[in-house]
Amino acid sequence: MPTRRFFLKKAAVGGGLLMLPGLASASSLMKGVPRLTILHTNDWHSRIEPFPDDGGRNANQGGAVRRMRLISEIRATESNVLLLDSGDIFQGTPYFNFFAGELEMKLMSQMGYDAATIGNHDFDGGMENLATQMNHASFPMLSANYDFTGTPLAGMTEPYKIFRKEGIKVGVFGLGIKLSGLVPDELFGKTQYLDPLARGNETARILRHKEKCDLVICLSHLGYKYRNDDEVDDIDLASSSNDIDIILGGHTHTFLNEPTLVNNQQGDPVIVNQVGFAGLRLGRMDITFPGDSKRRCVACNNLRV
Amino acid sequence: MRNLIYLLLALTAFSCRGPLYSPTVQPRYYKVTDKIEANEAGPQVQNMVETIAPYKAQLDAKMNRVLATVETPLVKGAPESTLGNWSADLLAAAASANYPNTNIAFATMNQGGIRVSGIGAGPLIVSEIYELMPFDNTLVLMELSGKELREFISHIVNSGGWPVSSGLAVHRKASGLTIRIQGRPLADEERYTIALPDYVAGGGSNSTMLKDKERTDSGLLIRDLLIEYAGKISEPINVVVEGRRMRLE
Repeated sequence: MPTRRFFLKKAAVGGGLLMLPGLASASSLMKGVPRLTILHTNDWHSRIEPFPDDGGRNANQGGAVRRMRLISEIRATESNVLLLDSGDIFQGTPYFNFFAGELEMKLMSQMGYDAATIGNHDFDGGMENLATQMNHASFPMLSANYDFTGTPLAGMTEPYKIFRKEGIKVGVFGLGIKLSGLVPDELFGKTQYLDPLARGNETARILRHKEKCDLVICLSHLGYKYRNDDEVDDIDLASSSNDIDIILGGHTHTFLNEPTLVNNQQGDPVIVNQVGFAGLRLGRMDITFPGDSKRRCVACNNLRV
Repeated sequence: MRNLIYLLLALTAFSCRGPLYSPTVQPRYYKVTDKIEANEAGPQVQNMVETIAPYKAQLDAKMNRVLATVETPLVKGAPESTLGNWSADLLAAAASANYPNTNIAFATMNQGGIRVSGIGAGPLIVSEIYELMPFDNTLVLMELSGKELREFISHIVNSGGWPVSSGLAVHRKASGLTIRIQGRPLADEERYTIALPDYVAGGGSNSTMLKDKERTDSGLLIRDLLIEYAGKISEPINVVVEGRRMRLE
């Protein structure tokens, strides 16, 4: 079994404007090499308009239309884009109080999201409401550790979805946080919370070994890292995993300037990332598969993991 | 033979190559700021603006009403903060006004229930209270023994401190916890009534000690109470933290 060690490149992190000079040439240098661009958000919490311009910390930052501008520019130069969200789409501005998540789902569909997972606040309008709003979504909600049997969400979610992107087979699955003590009982009803480590490993195993995916991505709403050992976080998930390549996290609203690398059970690094909250950032990972012969690098200031 | 050809065709269709190796990842992020608007927008962007417009028009009519004036910015923080103290005092005032025959020891809400990092100086508008308290949490009164209340206050302290109204003064030293309710030491045998969100009363934010306690549900949304009582404030809002409510050493 060849190792799946990643090269992680140090890239100049975003100043907001697109079209980093290296990008176009990078694509042309790598002709014929499979290339995938992952874009991701988490915890956007109904932040449809930018934060109010009131002198606060995030004044006039964020906004769904601006995010759409970024996404459409990236789509103009990249042919293989996967757009993913790690949950807590709902709750935080009056848009959710008055329209119950309908607009959030419509906008994510217009932005072309490919999949999302379910955050604790996505239960805030109740499960029937989430089921209703999912009718406005053109993308699936993925969860491999919530069993919705006997609830209004029964049959409306999938544990994982496989995307084929010009020769790259990508398996994406979702994991959600423990609901008891976090979400009022009546809002999650009969939903069964299953152990995220066991379900994560089992789902990733299916994606890697049965479905033969080239890349296995977990959309997690577990949270980045807790001081308390009883709570499962993305770092725990990564270190106890065998077949996960990338964990795109949420819940803790953590702003990571670069992904964290955590060794899995085989000693291979798993990439863990999170991009804060409220749509203040759009995360991006460009993944190339140069093959297992001589490794070629694009920017050549690679960090060997 | 024919079957073999089908099999080969199937194999070609479903596994035209082996797995891809040596993924190389280049990570980065974009800050979503107004600078992005300098770039040209395509028709998809325009579609989104049009999708939002009718929703926004409905909200703007309701959300831009001015309630009061903030003179010194209110900032969220722990264990005590201007925004936390102000919100909890407002909740205590609303609870007392709705239950005039009950002595409310203090009001509290979970730290995570306040969803903004601050409110800037200037006119305070309705939408800011929606963002402060987006949840449909309702006001609950709960009567507890001093002993039970001490357990709940310990949970608040161990969580790093929550917003509490002026009725509570906690001092944590190495030697232990000193708790005063409305100026008097907490007595284990006495009964106290506190005002809190139904979320916390139901065990939320790991407040399991409250879960099955008897409670009075007002059915009133905390957000609506904050809007109503903020609207009654005639003076400019200036909150000073004296550090007497949550003194954690």
